[in-house]
Amino acid sequence: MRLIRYFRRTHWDEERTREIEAHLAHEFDDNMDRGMSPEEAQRRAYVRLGSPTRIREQIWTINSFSGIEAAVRDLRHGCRQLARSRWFTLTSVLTIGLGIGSIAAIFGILDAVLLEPLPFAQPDRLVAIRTVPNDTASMPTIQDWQRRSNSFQSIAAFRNWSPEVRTPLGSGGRVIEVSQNFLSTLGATVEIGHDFVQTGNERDCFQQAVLSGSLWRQLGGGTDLSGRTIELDRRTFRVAGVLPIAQTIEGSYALNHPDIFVPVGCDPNVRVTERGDSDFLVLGRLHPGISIVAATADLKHAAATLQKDYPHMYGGTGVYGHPPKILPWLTVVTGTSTEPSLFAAFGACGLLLLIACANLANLMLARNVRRRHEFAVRATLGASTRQLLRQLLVENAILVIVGSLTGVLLASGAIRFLREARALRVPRLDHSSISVPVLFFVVSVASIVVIFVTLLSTRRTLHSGLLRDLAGHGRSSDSGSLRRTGRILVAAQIAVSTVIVACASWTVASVYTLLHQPLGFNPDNLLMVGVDIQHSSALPAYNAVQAASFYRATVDTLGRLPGINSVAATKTPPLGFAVNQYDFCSDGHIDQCANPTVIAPDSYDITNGYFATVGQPLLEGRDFTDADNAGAPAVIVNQVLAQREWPGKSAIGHRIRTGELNGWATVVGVVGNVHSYSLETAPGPDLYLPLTYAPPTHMVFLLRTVDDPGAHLETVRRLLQSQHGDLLFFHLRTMRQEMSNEVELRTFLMQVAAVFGALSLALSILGVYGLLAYEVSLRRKEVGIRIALGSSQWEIVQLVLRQESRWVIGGAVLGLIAAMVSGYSLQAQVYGLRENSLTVLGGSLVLLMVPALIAIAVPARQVAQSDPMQALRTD
Amino acid sequence: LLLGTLDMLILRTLVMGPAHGHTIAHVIEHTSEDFLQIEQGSLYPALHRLESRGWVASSWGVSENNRRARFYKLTVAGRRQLTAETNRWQLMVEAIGRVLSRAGKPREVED
Repeated sequence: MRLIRYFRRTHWDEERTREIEAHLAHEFDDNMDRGMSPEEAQRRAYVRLGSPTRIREQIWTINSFSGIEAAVRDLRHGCRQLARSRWFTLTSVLTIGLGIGSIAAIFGILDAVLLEPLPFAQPDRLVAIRTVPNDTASMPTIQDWQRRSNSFQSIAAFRNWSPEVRTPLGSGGRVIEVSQNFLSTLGATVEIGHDFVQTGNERDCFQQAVLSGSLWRQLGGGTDLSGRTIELDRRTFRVAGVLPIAQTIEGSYALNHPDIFVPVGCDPNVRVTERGDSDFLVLGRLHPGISIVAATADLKHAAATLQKDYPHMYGGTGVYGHPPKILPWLTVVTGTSTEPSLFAAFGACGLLLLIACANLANLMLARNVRRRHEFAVRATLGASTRQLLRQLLVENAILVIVGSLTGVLLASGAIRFLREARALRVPRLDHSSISVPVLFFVVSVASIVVIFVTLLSTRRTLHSGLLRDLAGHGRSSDSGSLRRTGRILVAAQIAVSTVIVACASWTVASVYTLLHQPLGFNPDNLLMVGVDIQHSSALPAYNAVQAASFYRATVDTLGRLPGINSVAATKTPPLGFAVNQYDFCSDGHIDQCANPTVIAPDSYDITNGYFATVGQPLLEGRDFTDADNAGAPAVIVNQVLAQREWPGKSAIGHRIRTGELNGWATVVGVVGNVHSYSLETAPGPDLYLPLTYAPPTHMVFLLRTVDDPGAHLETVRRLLQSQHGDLLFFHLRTMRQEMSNEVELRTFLMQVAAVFGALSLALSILGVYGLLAYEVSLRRKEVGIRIALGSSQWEIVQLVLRQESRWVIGGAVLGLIAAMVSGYSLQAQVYGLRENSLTVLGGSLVLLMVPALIAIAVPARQVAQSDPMQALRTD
Repeated sequence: LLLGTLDMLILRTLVMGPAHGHTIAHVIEHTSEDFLQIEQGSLYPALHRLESRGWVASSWGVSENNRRARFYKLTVAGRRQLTAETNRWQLMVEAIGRVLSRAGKPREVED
């Protein structure tokens, strides 16, 4: 009904007009009958009825959908207005697109990584239990925790294993060894087949393996497990079960997408009954309703009873006596550093959005001032302040909606880029996309932006003296409060961007320092080849002499290859993670021998010439010689250990005791420090022993090559295989490859931070420049008067600089304080922040202040140079 | 004039037969003995509303002054609406009357 009327509005308007005319005619007739003059009769008739136009308007309104129609009208008008000022529209859309795009992208990642629940049964009950300080525990310890506490439904153990894997696809695959209850504790379901056989004895292996869904699919899938096998270290394992694809296990280290799960009993190197062998990471499932705090207290009690029963195992002073910590499992999956870094990134994007908003408000403020004349005309023609405000709101909404769409496009591009950038290894990043929650988030942010920006930019424009505006007066003289709004915006913008630029520079500086710090050895042209000789024809049964002579002979053989400068072997290479520690004390602190574990250095078994090969400097004393192999044991220490044990004295000739030898040895040399674990971890105390004292069953050969080390890998492998066909190889890579993971990720982070910082710097310089230049140009008339009264140009520039820079400096001071606060809270995450902090703060300040001052000085000079008479007339 | 009562008064006027806007305004004023002064300007939007709801129907005709005028007549739906509105009005008047007369009397003391 209403719709029909809507389309016949004009018809009805004509009908009613005629009807009203008829009414007036009748009233005229009546009035004439009462004896009035025709003019009077006509006048009275109109007075009685009221304005026909008003009546027609009322009827017209009844016939239309007033709200929608007004909105459509505003929308059309808004689009026209925006199309007319194209540059303004383009700049605003891009600004808001960048602001919303960056925060939408980071929210998409945050949502996928941190907020989406894990794909296991009741994942909120899953926890990690970590001992202090090594995180790991032995199997008997874990079993005792379960027995002596009441908080856990079950506790499981797991550990990384790197056997040689052979599947029908070829070799390779990530293996994790787990306790029998691991899958049930995790809450994973076995899709095909069954879980491990539960015997309660962790030494049982039964040659069974459970595969991940993705590996199973690569192997051809199917539902029949009979006859399906894989080979680990040349032993055949039957496939007992397959996990669903949806239940991919994600995390770092052992949890990095493991494909093959085997019982811990299958790894011959692990002793599951030894209370002292703390090799396992621990997963627990809490009873329903038990909080982490309660479980921690419970476990602390259990650990205390263990300490009492086995004082030699769990005693110790310092951190070794501390009770284990309990963390939510999600934290372990995403990594402890992921959550704070994501939130830091989220905060940074929030600040960028604020800058974008301020820019937008600046642009609109200036534009609204230019449009005051238009507003005044419309107000005189009957538009109410509310209607004008609505018009502006609609215009801003159009801008923000288009900007948000651009932002969503940018965000989806950014997310795709980050997912594909292999350097960024955030677990669960693969799940991130522009999902419904992200869109919801964008809509809410965009609405807030519209309201915020409109309120900021219209607070004064619409109210003050519209009629005076129409007359052309007071365009600059009464804009004092307007200018204050603008100056506050400038100050806020400078403050916020100081924070962003400082944080971005901190990140960049920290990565730079990290990548350019001395490693303590030369990583170029260094090839690593790990060889395991256990059970092979090189070492059928363990024999120390045979093992040692095999390694020495191999070093000699490899050293004779063309293109190889020198060769050495070590049990653990630099940056190799797995380092052994043994009980330790020295004649420098003889009292420590009562409690030797606490101060244990990392222990390396090496061949002669190792230091020369890796490029680790020998600072004092001598390298090992063949003479050291027999007779009194000799060791070499690194600088950190030497200074710790014998501060201010030469370490040469002093004696140490190590559990590896079960006896005393003499220090014959001191070498430089190396990064043994990762780039961030500072070098710790290291102890080097000749290989011959306790030759291990596997070693890593380090080859210093003349040219590209990767080219020699095949030659070396073929040479060794021709001597012993059944050797197991591991750790086959160049040192640069080994470092590339860490370097790639950090370089990537550095680039992202640099781009981000540059972007926000550019945005805020643009905004600040635009607004300051505009502010200064508003003072044209005043400057004209000053020049007419005899001021020089230089005095004008100085005056304007002095007055306008007050706000800039205020903003900068505020920003510096905020930057220092955020720097303090970032300290834990940014490497070397303290060392870089002054340079970075100073640099950021210069980056922002110089453009801001130029933005004042250049227009001020322009204004000062212009003809004063013209300046006085134009305004 | 009380809000919402104009519609009812127009419908009531049309019970006596078809009429044009000018007549309706005058009839309401006369029958209420000039007590109810209706604003003539609001009459036409009201008529338009009633017609769009289907309570009155209109067509052009010739008035007693020999002028063209649009005549309104009550439809069946309009008659039903008038009955309903009149009933509601009566009930409301009675209710308000009761409240007013009770409030006017002094309250009796209970023992």
